[in-house]
Formats: sequence, C-alpha cells, structure tokens
Amino acid sequence: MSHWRKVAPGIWGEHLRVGLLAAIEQVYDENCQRFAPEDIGDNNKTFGITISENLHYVIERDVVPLIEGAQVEKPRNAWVLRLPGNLLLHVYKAPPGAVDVREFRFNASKVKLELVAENAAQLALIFEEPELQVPENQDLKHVVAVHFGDPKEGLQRVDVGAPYADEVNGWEWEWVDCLSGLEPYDAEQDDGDVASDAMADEDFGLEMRDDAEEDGRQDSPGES
Amino acid sequence: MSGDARSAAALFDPDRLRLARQLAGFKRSELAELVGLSAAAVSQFEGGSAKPRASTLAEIALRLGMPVSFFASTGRQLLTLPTEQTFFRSLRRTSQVDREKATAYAVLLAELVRVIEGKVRLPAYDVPSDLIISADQPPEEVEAVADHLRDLWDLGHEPITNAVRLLERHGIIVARLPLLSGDVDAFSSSLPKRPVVILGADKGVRERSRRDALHELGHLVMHHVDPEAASAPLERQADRFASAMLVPAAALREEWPAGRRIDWPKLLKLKSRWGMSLGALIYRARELGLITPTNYESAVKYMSRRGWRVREPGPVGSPEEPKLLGDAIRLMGENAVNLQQLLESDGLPPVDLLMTMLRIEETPARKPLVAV
Repeated sequence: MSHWRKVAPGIWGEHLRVGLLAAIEQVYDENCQRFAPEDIGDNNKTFGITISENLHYVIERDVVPLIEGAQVEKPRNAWVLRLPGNLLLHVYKAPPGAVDVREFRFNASKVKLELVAENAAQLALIFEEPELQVPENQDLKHVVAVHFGDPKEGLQRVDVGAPYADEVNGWEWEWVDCLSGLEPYDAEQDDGDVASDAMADEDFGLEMRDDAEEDGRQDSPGES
Repeated sequence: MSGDARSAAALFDPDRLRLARQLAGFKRSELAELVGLSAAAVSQFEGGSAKPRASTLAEIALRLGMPVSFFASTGRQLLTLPTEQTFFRSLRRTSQVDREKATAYAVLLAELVRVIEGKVRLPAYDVPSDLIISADQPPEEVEAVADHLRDLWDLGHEPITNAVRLLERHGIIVARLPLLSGDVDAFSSSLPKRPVVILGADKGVRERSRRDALHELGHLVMHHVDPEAASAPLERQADRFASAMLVPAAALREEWPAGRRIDWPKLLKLKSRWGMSLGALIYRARELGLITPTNYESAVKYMSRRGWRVREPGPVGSPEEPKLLGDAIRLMGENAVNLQQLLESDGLPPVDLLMTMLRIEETPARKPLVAV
C-alpha cells in the first residue's frame, strides 16, 4: 500500500487526492492559457505566484467541502490544509526546471523550515526513543504536495511526501508518492463507510438435474 | 470444398444466416459485397427462396466468423426475438444494425441458456407478473411497485450491494457485452419465460451500470406484457423504478442531510452507501422534493464547474459482473457434462467461440475450506 493511502486513509483520502489533482490541473490549465510574457511581462515568478494564490482559492472552494473537518489555515503569509487526524498538507510549486522532489528547497521560508523540523522531531520520537510511550498517531504531521510544471508544458506531475530536517543534507524525504500514479482505490478495503459487496460471491445453490427430470423436462425454464 | 460445407449447404437454415449476419453487425448489402454477391441474393438466402452453393456458404461463414456447420438446420427452429419487443432506450440514437446485433446476441445467449438449463437447475424466475402499469400511471405508482418488489424480495430499506447479482438470484440472465454502441447502455428482452438483460461493457462506471441493470428490471416488472421499444413514458418509468430500487424514498428522506446548502461530504457518504452517483442522488432528491428545482440546478452547475459530471469524486469500483452462467458451466464441468457436445448437437457455435462472443467466463473452482 502506498504511503499516501496510509496517511490519508479511506474515502476521505481518495476525495482529497482526486480533488487536489483536479484543482491543480484546473489552475495550471487556466494560468498557462493566460500566460502573456510579451503583453504584460509574465515570467516564471508571476506564474508561480498566481498558481499558488489560485490554488489556495480553488482548494478552499472545491476540496475543503469534500472532507469533513478540513479547513484552510494561514500561518504567516502561507496557507496550509488541515485534515482529519491533525494532518497538515502543504502545497508547493517545484522550482522551474525541477524534475525531482528532492530539488525542492525548504530553507526559503520559516514555515517550511518549521514543518521539516516538526517532522524530524516526530521521527526522533518514534525511532530514537522507542522506550518512550509512542504516540497514537505515528504518522508525520506534515505532508507536502509538490507540483511540477511550467507555462509552456503545463502541469507535469504531482508528488506528495513527508520531508524532515536532516543535519547533513538540510532535509530529506521519509517517503514520496506520485499522487496520480497510485494503485486504484479499493472501496471494499475501506473503513466501513462504503457499502461492501456482500453479494459478489453469492452461491446460487445450483444443482444438476437428474436423468429422469431431464427426460421429462418440457422446455420450462423457471422451475427450480 | 469440405464435406462440412456441402452438408451445411444441403441442410441450409435461412434463420441461421440472418442470425450470424446480425451478430457480425453487417447489413445484407455489406455481406453481399464482401462475398461478391448481390444484396438480392443474400435476401433470397435469408428469405429461404434460394440456397447458397457450398463454396458460397463457406465464404459467408469465413466472413461472418462462424463455423460453416452453424448454418445447417438441426430440425429445431432457433429462438426468435423481434427487435420491437426489446427495450431500447432510444430508437433515434440506435441504428437498425445495432439493434439487430444486440437482439441477435440476446438470441444466442438464450440458446446457450436453453442448453445449460437442460442440465442445471437455474434459480427460479420469480419476478412478479402482476405489477404491470401503463404508460400514463403517475410516478407514485412506480415508487409503489418498487417498494412492493423490495418487500417481496426481502430487501427492506437497505442498499442493494450488487444489482446484477440480485437479478441473477431471481432468475434473470444477465450478460455484459462490449457490442453495444455508445448510445445503447443496456437493453432487456422478455425471451421465452426467462428474460435476459444485456449491459454494455464500455462505460465501466459501477454506479451507472447498477442503475442500468435496475432500469431493465423495471421494464421486466412493469412493461413485460406490452413491450414497446424507446417509448419515452416507459423509459421514464423504468428510470424512476431504478432510482426507487437503488434508494427507497423513505430511506433517502431519513438520511438526506438537513439544511438548504448541498452538503457534499455527506452526499459522498450517501453515494458510497447506496451505490449511486452524486448526479443520480441529487436528481432523486429533486424528484422526492428534498431539494428545490433551483437548488438542483445550482448543484448541477456546481458539479459541472468542477468536472464532476464527467468524473465524479469518490470511489470508482468496477462494474458488477454477471456470474450465474459461469457458475452453471463450472458445475457442468464438475459433473463431467460435455457442454461442447450439447452445443454441437444443437447446431450452436463451439463452446470457446460462444463464451468469447458472450463474454462468459467459467467461475473458477471453489477452494476447499480446509486444506487436506
């Protein structure tokens, strides 16, 4: 099972995934169409800023209503989606030309530095001090979705993962999933809010006819 | 020239040529062109006023993808099914060739069922015959019919977890075929005593396919006495019946989220619980007066803006697959009954071809509960 399905389990996680992808696609489509470097001086910076601002709006409008308890919070000048289980989802644009989530930098703002630091603290609690009482929710608190794309090619990919502060490299990723490339969502494995298909394997109790019945049978479907 | 072709030409059965041509989806003129004949000649063959030569029949068989022996009479007439006795949603959007092809598949399916049923006791067909309503009956009557059927079948007010299995359990043969054109979602035919429902295989949306199956059940329950293809009032009644079977009015009234605004998270839960699309749920809410027409229109616009009319959020399961015939064929195999021989003696296509054409898969053998 993908990491995403673990941190955002069940039907709400699937609503979030589908809604998030749709919102990002829509925002890229519209910004690519109106991108006008020669008319009004658009560049990668303006593209990135409008993408981020538009995403904030569209996610609050379209994704938040799909998930009970979800809300957009605005720490300092940033915005983040608070989800069930106290999960915080940050949505960022990858730098121009980036092809790997590891190229995303977390030292560009205080909010980003805090989120990797908090994830690192959580990891330390789980792995370095196992004798301590492990918190009920062992998942990292912050999850980051990084979208790759540019005004010319449009949206390329959306990755999601859990970054944490690392003394050597500055930050590392505990895990990364491609949001659009996950295994199909299995409603039957869900946490109970999907009607399970109890009839799928129904045994009809079929029986062979005996010889006498075959001989005497006059085209009478419907008998049992 | 094979002896098969000579024998088949000698025993040529015009009805079998018509069925094979319709299964292949050809007009008479198209088949004629393929085999270098006039359309009139093919008409004469099908009308029984002329017989093809063995070499012509071999060529026809090749073009239609049938063994030449299929065209020989066995002395028993093939089942017939007039297309006008089949419930198609729209004649305007369904070509004659598509309709003929679809009904030809239904005939072939019914022939297979007849052979299987000679050996296996299938579930009794117990769709009540006294719930007929006329085209001018109001929607409330349709709701009452669905409620009554839910009672008869002990469904209570709980979701139907598998609509295809429900139909099969009550003796209706269901097949899922890719043959239907984009405009034919599903159709049903009241073939001799045991009707068939054929669902399209192309759309692949679970909620829609469940609705299609129950729509066809509605025709079989309410309109079997006087079937009429593509009658708008009958289609509306079958739609209403499907909605009422999917979620009874009383249940939805109880579970519909309070408040004037559409509560999408709660609707997504209802969608999962009842196996209905969001679109079908808000439509049902409107027809039951749970939301106003204005709220309904706003909700539809909301869904359109977000692309949900094309792809809804929420779990997308695979369409429900039929299983009854696969089970029966497995049982025959377990009891050393040679289906191939039975089909041959009835002049039907070989079992592999037939099962491929009808997309029937033998159900895998059951695993023993306790390993030995």
